[in-house]
Amino acid sequence: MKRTRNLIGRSLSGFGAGIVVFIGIILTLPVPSTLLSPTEDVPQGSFAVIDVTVLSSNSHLRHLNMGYVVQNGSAYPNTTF
Amino acid sequence: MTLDRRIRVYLLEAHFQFIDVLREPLFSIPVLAFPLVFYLFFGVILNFGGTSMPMPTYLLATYGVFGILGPALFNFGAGLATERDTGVLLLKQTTPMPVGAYFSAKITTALIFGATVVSALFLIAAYTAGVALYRWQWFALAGVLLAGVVPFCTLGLAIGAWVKGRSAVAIVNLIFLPMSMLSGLWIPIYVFGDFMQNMALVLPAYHHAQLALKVIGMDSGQPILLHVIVLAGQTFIFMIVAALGFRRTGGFSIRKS
Repeated sequence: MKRTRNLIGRSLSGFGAGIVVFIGIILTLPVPSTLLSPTEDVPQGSFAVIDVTVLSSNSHLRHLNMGYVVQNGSAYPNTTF
Repeated sequence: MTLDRRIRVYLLEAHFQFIDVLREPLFSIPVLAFPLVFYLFFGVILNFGGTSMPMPTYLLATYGVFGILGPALFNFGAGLATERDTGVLLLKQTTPMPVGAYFSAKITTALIFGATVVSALFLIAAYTAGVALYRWQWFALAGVLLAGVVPFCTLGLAIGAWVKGRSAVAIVNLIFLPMSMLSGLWIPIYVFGDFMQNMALVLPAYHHAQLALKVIGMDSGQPILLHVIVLAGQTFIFMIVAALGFRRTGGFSIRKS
């Protein structure tokens, strides 16, 4: 009877220890803020200004699809090849 | 049987079943190693996009499901069939042990193995693949993954109730491996064609994987309730199939004391 009680006690303490280890492992895992804080990797000083209006016409299709020819801001199917 | 004695029986049965499975290296090593090796291969080594790509994060959720599925299916499916064929189940039925102790011990064993796989996967993903999630996401992902033990154990129970011990491992593999593949546990589901994606809708592993992916915001956009209802419905169906199997073989007489 005593041996059985010891066995149950050992099982319960082992199970409890397992839960603690499992939670402990999760608590050690990295979270996004610890990997990269908002101030990191931001260059100090001057910034490049990008003209976003360059994408407002169909001119960007020139780089995307070889099957189109862009003329006067409009894209036409390329029939020359 | 008093409550105190009942709890003791439940604890002892869980203890001995866990020791029994742990001492079977042909079960414990593959079940623990398969998901980890597969994740290392597909999630870390073949991570062609570098650590900035979401692939290791995506595969962490799906391989977590794969890691839960293995112990649940094999411990219940193959374990139950073998114990019935070797007479261990009959021996247990001659004792005053409640039938619930046997099932809860099997579920606890699958849960412990599943938790071991999940924690090892988390460590590999975090420290070799650079996966970083918010704290609540780590806990929620672990919780969702471990909750999958219940439907997968009932699936294993349904298999174990119908198949014979010698064919059990083969049958479980026949379900385990294709279901893992078709549910998108090894490679993302969106790689497959429409037909195979539609086929995944009937598989429990797909719905569990979608719930896990929902935690990290990488699911296919279906509502949580749909996945929960499908999983609950399938769990119920598996239990009915298992009950029919036990009735056919006379495998279990439900003892109330």
